[in-house]
Amino acid sequence: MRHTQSHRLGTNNATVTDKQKSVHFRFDGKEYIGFEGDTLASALLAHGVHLIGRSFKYHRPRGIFGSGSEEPNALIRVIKGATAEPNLRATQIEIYDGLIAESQNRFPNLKFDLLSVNNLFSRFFPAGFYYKTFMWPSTFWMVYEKFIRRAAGLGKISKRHLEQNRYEHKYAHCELLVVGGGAAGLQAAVIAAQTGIRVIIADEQHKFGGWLLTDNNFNIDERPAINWVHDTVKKLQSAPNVTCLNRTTVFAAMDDNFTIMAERVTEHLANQPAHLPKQRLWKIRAEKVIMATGAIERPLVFSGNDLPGIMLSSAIRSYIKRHEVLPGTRIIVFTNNDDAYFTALAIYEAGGFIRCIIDLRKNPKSQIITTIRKLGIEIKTGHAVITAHGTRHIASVDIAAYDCEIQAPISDISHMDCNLLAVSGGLNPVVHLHSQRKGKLIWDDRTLCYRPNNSSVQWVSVGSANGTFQLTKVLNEATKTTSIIISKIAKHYKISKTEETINGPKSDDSKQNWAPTPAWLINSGQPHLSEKTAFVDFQNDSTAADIKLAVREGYHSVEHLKRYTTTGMATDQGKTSNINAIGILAESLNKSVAQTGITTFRPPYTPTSLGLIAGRNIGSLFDPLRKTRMHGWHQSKGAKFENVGQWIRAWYYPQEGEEFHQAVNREVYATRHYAGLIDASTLGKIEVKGPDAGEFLNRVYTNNFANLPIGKARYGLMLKEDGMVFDDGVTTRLAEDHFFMTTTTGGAAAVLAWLEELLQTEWQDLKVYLTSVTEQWSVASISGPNSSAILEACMSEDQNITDDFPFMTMKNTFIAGIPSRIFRISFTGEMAFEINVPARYGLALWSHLMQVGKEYNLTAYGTEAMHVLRAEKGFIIVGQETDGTVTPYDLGMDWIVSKKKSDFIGKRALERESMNEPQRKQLVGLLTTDPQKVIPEGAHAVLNPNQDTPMEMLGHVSSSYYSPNLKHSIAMALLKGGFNRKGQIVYIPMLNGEQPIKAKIVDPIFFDKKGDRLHG
Amino acid sequence: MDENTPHIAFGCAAFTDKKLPILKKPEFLTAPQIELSEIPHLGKLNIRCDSINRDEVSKLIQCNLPAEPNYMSNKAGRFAVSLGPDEYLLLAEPGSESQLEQILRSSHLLEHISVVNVSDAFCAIRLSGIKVRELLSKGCPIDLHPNNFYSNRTAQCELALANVILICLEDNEFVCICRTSFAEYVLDWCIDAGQEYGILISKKI
Amino acid sequence: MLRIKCPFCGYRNESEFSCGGEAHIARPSAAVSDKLTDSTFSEYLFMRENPKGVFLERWCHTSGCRRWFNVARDTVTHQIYEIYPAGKTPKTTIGKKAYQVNWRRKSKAEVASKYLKRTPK
Ligand SMILES: [Zn+2]
Repeated sequence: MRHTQSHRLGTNNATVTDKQKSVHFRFDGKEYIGFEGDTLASALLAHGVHLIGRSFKYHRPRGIFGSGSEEPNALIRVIKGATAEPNLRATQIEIYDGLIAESQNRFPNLKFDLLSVNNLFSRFFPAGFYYKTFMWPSTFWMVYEKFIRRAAGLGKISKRHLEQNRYEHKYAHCELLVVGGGAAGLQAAVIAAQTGIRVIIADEQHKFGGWLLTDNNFNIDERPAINWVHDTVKKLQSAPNVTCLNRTTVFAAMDDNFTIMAERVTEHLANQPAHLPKQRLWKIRAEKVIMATGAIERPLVFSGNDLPGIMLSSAIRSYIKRHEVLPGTRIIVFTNNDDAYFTALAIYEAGGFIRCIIDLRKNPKSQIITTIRKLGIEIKTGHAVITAHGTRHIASVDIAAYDCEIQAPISDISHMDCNLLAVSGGLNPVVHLHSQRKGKLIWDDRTLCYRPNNSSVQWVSVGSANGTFQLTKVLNEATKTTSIIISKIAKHYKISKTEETINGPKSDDSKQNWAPTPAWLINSGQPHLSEKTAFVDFQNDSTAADIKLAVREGYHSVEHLKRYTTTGMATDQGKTSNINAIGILAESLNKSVAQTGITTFRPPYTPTSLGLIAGRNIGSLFDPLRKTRMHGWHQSKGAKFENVGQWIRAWYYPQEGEEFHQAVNREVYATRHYAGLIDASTLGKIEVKGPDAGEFLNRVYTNNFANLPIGKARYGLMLKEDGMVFDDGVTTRLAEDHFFMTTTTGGAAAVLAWLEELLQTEWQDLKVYLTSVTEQWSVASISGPNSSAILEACMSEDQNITDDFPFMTMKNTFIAGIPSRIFRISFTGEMAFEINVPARYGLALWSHLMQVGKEYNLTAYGTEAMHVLRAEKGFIIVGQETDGTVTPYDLGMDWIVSKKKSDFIGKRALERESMNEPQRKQLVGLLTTDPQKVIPEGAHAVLNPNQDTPMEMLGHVSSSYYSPNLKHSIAMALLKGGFNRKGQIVYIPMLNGEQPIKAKIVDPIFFDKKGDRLHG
Repeated sequence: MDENTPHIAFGCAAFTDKKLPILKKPEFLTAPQIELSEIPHLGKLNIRCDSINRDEVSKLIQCNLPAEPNYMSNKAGRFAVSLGPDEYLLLAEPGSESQLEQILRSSHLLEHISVVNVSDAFCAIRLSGIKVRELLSKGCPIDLHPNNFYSNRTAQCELALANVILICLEDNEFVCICRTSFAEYVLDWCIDAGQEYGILISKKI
Repeated sequence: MLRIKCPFCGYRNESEFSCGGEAHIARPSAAVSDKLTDSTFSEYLFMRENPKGVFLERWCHTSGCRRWFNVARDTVTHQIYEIYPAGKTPKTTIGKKAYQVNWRRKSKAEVASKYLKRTPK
């Protein structure tokens, strides 16, 4: 069944909607027809559909209230294919053929909502309800959390969202960014554009024009305002230096005019083309920013003011003018200012029936009021709507004469029926971006609004965003401000001086006397009853009663009030509620609004999808994966990989039918008995060059390097200034002034940065140059009894390098014709050679070694086997045995800390008393009583497993493996006073009721304690 | 052993392991607006020297080390990119790097300068086409407007999640130099970000 | 996100830089340990300024030229008053004042650092 557009006007003057083009869509399972240019809100209102959701706390029925991003009620879930996006505002969703939308926060359906029992028991939900109720006892929090989370749900997210929706980022630079494409923004952009500077103008809506799309009966320069908009937009779009972005919300204004905006690129299309993203995040660096963000109308606060059918007066005018939709038939207008009379005029011109206008002011006078009077529309001045009645829609209102001074009704109540109530409580300049930049706000007592103080040189607000509401003044202000700001960008940008560029165009807008009367809360005469249903923040369901309760409980600061009542903390960030809340707070405290102050607005201005923030950094592009040159070989042999920082390294190479441990055990065994080859290309490598290179290394390593002979290698330990181990590696002297340093894989970048920092900031007198060569060299490290034989087999016959190649030395030679640097160093405890070749030969070297090594049982091993091999030898891994709190002494590595050097990084810190405290955690080995039982890494050790929790912990297990060579589980641990505990028994308590693991504290070198195997 | 020996990797695996050419474009485009290829085995030397030695080094390598930051100078197929107040990257014809390294190492300047062969540490990717600036602006925060980033301008900057050296050769022609292990990421990112413009990855040098 | 002027590369986004904390902390040499009590050394190792206002700090252009430099920045407004080379002291009036009023100028650690400009080989 398709519903008729009962509320669509018969005319054809809509400024946005194109009635020639029908659009079919579904809402809550029903089919509807709208027109191109309709928002979901306007299309639903055209069918008389107001009710669109249930409120957050009390599940009260709520309807469409506004016409733009200020909308607090009409939150919608849009379904596309298998994905759905929640929390979109119906007032901003452009309809397209096939759109499927659903209301949110209702169960089982909109008209009958089970949770609305909350409404009947609303005394349970006063201000601070969650704080008071769920605070105690704290152990119950886990129970409460589930309840709160279900109750607080705002929409559901689809798990497959990112698979089917693409987002992207884009950087842009401009001299001037204009935020907002209304009268002020367009005028500012067009003035700036003629200087040739780069201008970006962004507007949230899909058409430029802002309120001129609504107030289209004004003239600008003696032509209809809408024509001025069209002409100006055309001019901007044809200028090569101007970027016009519609459907683009500037949601964050950050330091130095770094401005972030969300462009809805294709989400408004029925068929999203695959090559374009759904949304695009623009990151703009602008020299200057003009904030022409307009103003948002605020409602009036009275009992029952949240009923569907009560709408912002300006929104109703927008629906009439932009979409030719009149959302009611018997209409009452309730106002404290002139603007609502323009709505009345629009309703009248659209053929609508206005029951009456209720104006809080006693004796308002202006041209528009005279016009309305002449039309015969009844105006009740000095009156107020006291209460609105209705169940799921407004049906009637109570009206009384009202004195704003004493804040009370002063007559008997009369009753009047209606099905649409337009409310207008004044205008709030959209100061969010100004406030995000920490700009100060000034309260204007005449116009009753906070406006920006405009004291920054980087940005300025103009037009109604600046509290200037009359059109001619807006255009004039935009023109003048733009000229000034452009002159500050650079002197050579000149604006040709014509009447239009000096003063801006003229309009016949007659909103001359913009002076609303303050009336923050309409008193029914029985406030204790009415204030509980007088809603301030619709989205978070906070009422006037909540604010008054908070005040009584001592929450007098506006910041406290906000958090305690959650007013202004919903997804609409209090666009319609903040000022009313502050007004009520001020009145309760007998202060002025200016004295009460305002909370700070923070990004984002409108809710922003997390997918947009992530942009392209998802899936395979989430984080760069760095592969070595041998990666292809590993892959072809079915290697399993592990991530080490950004590097992806071969973890183990399972053969057919092998599981993890079987593969690792085979690799470890083969390396000890025959030979093993590991891809060590990811090790950090740094060339250290310069006359002071030796001295420099002396200062950064704990041991001596200045005396290292040319061609010799030495293991070094690097500390930070606090004496804690930072990195380790082997450094080789290639020439008197030239060293080749290696670092850990994970520490490569940090080590280079740290060494550069020292050279540039601490020791500027040292002549040393550092160059990272990590990726210049591919490294294959061959270990095991057969390693020298394999190496020999790779050499041409006249070469004989393994004789006369002592441990910890280096040679330049050729292997398989490839120029190589070979280091005789070992991380396995076996005779080993680390072969470095220019990376382009990496794969060739590896393949060649594996080919030649076949006869010698050469086995490729991965990082897991490497860990086991080094653990058997008690070699530490920085980052595993160390965690930034471990000194060389804690590792039992006193031998590497020079006693002779007068200084090195960390030396003085090691001398501190606490560094030598005997109860520090020290590195020991653990042998489990059950040789097959491998302790989980990270587990904690205790002396007595039967003590009460929390147990006294000795320390933790840093490395733990099964050693196939010892046929025994081995582990390293950092235990309090560990060095003196050798021989003691410790227990490692397990989770899930498992028996604690029993282990003996031993020396951490498990295999070949004397190190004989190094020499083959 | 020369580079033509079949088992020596020809250029960066990011390119050699892929089945090239790769073409990604929306149907309405007749031709890709961006072309991308590797410049394999380009000689690359990292040179460190103070300004006082700059002229002498320039003479030895027959290419001026640029005095101005973020610029490149080029002479007879050699390009010298400034990387810092005392740091340069020399791009030279493939195979010439060892000889250039030797010339500098054997000069009397040796004590005051540093020269390191980094030919294999970096991958040079050539990007061309009318939409190249648009593509780069999706990941590169610097101002790429032709008035600001023109022929011979260079920058060390971020390109999405990689650090790169960006060089403008001509109006629509750039070279992006990244660490070799980041080449695959840069390539995949370009393919993803460039599909709206039409992107062709080829082996053409 | 701040826009910071690298003395070498020009204006770049803050995300390309890393902040190295307080500048002008002289490193006392362990070689003069008689002048360097634990408490004196801890002034150097642990104590850092955290002013509301102008702060002299070190920055490095990590994603660019990798050069370190010093910055006089207001921690409230983020306004940068001066950018000057590592190892030098500020030249602007605001920067000079921030340098001089810092307690560290009179700290024992800084005094100790003056005994030895260059650690002996
Ligand atoms: Zn820089």
